Amino acid sequence: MKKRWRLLDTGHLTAAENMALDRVLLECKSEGLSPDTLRFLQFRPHSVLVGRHQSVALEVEEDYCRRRGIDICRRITGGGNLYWDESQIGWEIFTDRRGGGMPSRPEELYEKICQCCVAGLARLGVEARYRPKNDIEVAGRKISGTGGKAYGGAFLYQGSLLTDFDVDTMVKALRLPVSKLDDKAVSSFRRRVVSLKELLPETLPAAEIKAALTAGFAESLGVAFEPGGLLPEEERRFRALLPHFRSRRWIYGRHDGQRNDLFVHDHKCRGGLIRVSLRLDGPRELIKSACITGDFFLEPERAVLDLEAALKNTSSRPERIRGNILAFFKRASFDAPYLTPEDFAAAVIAAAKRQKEGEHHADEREV
Amino acid sequence: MNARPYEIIEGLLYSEDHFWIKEEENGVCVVGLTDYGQHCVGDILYLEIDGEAGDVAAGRSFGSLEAGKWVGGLISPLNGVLREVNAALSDRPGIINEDPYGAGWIIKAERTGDFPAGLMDGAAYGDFVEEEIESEGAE
Repeated sequence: MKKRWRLLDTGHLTAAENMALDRVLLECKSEGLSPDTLRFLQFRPHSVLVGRHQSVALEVEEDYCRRRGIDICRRITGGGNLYWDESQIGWEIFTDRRGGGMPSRPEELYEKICQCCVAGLARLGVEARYRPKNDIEVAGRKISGTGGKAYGGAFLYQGSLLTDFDVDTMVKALRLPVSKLDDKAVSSFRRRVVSLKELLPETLPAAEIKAALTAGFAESLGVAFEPGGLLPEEERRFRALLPHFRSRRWIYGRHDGQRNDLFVHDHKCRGGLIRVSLRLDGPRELIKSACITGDFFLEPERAVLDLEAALKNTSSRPERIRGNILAFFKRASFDAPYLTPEDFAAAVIAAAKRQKEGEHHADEREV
Repeated sequence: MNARPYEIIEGLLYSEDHFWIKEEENGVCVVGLTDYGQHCVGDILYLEIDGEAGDVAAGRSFGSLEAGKWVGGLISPLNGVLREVNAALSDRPGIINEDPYGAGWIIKAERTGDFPAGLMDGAAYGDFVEEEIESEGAE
């Protein structure tokens, strides 16, 4: 007989309510009070979330969010800044770290769980795939970002799913690796994400999407889902913890010393112009995110998007950048007349060096 | 399969959560993540210690680390009083990946009471890691 999991659909909640529930459900699972759970979540009002260790001041355009009534909160899970409009559907699982057939090594775990979402999307006719380390993409374009947290003997792993996405608001609400003054870069950023609305002939009701995802998780995990609500203890802890997740202390926290600066470099080479935009945390020597555009020819087009994903959260030291890029092109199959992996390495290294030279992009001085 | 690709140092104590303890002559214990532990979590991007001073309790979290998009607790292998945090990790937590038993130490704590049961010496920890690798079919 298949193991039974709770299917918990909490509908639209505020960001603080959703974050408080994440903590409560994870704690209760680790204490053996809660069953294994698949939760669907949505946000109302629309919200911006930063990762557990990020700084709101560095990741979010706070004035814009205030003007537009966008909630700001901090996740308990890792990863980067996210914009959630009210149509997006979040999915997350709460289960034991050991004994339930889940790998304990994070990267194997990411893949196993992302494959559940991939199986669900397949039921909608969407051919998605897992892209290391944490993305689910369709033809190179990201449709779901994921992240997790371990606590005691349990863990939470969650993802977003773009259904009908407001890219304009996202670009204005978050600090992304594109200059807001550069229309071309912004439009190129649109091509890096994709929503179900773009992929499917008709807009599906949220219930249908959730049903497909549930079936994907059931099939991939070999479990059966039973709809259920919050347990009284979960409800009690949720009420008690909610003020904490609404507090400035939680949302703004203490995240001193981090940086998230934008640096842009145009690299001219025989194969064309490679424009690299990097978000860098200088003190940590970290590339937080990258956007690579230009007039070069590289097939398949997704190779650039995969390269950007491979550079995320990697070292900004020149020798490490070069090593990572050469290793990436060794794995990837691509066609790029007059361009070599060394050209991409030189372009990214030059952009990263701008940080040492203190050359912020003009866009940054306005923020 | 064996634990050999991962460095294990004799003379240290190890926990099942992959933390090591080195007790210094003054009774202060240095705590860090093992080589196998840092390999499992991957490149560490952020590290946060709860409070600058206070108690640490065996099996309880004294902070968190983030690698990839995964947030995990730093699980104390002993009971004690926090005396020092490795300040270098605040800017460059990746030092744990580069030198887990040296410059990548995480905290120093003054032990209170005996060491908890279940800590292992290097040989036993090597067996433990081998078993873990085999049970998961990992590299």
